[in-house]
Amino acid sequence: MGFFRRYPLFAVLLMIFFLVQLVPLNNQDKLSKSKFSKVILTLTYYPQRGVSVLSRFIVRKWEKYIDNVGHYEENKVLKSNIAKLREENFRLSETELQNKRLRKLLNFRSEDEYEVIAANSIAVSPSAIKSQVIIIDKGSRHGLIKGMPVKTHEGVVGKVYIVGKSSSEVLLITDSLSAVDSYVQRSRERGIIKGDGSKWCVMEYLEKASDIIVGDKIVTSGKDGFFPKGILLGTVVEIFSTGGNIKAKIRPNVDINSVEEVLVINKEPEEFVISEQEVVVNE
Amino acid sequence: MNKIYTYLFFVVILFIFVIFQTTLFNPGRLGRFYIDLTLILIIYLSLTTEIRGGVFFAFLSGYMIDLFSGASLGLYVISRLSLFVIIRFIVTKIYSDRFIVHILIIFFSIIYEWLFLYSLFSINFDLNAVPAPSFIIINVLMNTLVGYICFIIIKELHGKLYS
Repeated sequence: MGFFRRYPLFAVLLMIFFLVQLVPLNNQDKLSKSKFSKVILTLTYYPQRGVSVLSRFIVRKWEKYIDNVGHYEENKVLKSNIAKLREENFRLSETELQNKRLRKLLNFRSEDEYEVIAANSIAVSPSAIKSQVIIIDKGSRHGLIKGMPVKTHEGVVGKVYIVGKSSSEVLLITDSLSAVDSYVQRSRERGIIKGDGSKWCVMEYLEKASDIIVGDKIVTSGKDGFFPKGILLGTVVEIFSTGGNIKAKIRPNVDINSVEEVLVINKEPEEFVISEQEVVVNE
Repeated sequence: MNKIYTYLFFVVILFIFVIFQTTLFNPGRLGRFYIDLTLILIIYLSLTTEIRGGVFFAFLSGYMIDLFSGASLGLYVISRLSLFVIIRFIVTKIYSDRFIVHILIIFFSIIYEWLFLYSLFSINFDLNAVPAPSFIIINVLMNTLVGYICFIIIKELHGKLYS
């Protein structure tokens, strides 16, 4: 004890070392269930929204000004593109109608069956080391619950992690704690997409003989109980082997860093649905 | 009464810093030039001897960063609390009210936080999430510079509150 009295800093460092051992990095439940977390999320909602709206307004005004330079030539190209796209759109809507009829015939469930709630990203993670989180301006009063999938028109973004009254935190698919059951769109090889904590994802649990090549598109399988089937996740950019399996590096289809508007899919995670059914059975 | 105003003042400053850090000065937007305003505030509080509730602010700032970054409860809480305790200990040993000492303390505090998070991540995860050393060096220098400017601004505002 005399040693620690003489060198209190050493005692403090030792205490910190033991405290660090108690930090469970892969157990986030305590934080997400804490009422204090929800209070802080609610308290910061209006200021965050205010700053976000103001900064976006200034950026858009500036971009508008920059865009006006050399508009004429771009306009001509865009007009011809629109004509082509209209034609393509007509063909696609015909195909979609046909697709719907056939799906109905086969009794298929598609992601379109779920309603979506539009939301804006108002803030992001303040940490450089744990940066794969965004805050959106919709919360429990808009019907959001923990675990709801979040996407844009380009693909999967993540899932709702903490729900405040008016805002919520979304854990992105690139976060190291995120995992999504998925397919290779072309060959239907199945694997788990995990975030690597930076801008990339990794598809794991693929067998060595799996039919996967660079450029393949990866879509959700709908088997993890969170994400509906068939939403685009990303593209394979690299394949490498580890032990008996192979892994694929995936570039997410959504530019995670510049995501502004998102759609929350109004789909309750299946674990909650099951627990409600169990309650009914127990009653 | 002054004490209550001081607490309120720092609670408001902490909230403003968290809001700026999550909206304008975040790593996603500024990359290696992002500014850790809440860390700078905690260093300021640990150097300012008349602030008694510094531990509370260190905890609250850590908790809020944990919350907004999706980290598990404790990562930033422990980092901030330990930093606060270490700086307070150093302050009792040296004459800290000098420009160069402030600069050095800010510089080493930011390095400490990076090392703390780096070591924790290397134990629990692979290191993809940890930025490259060049990112960290530029970030430390940037935060040291901005940190000192923030020190002057907070000191001015804090002084006006007392007068």
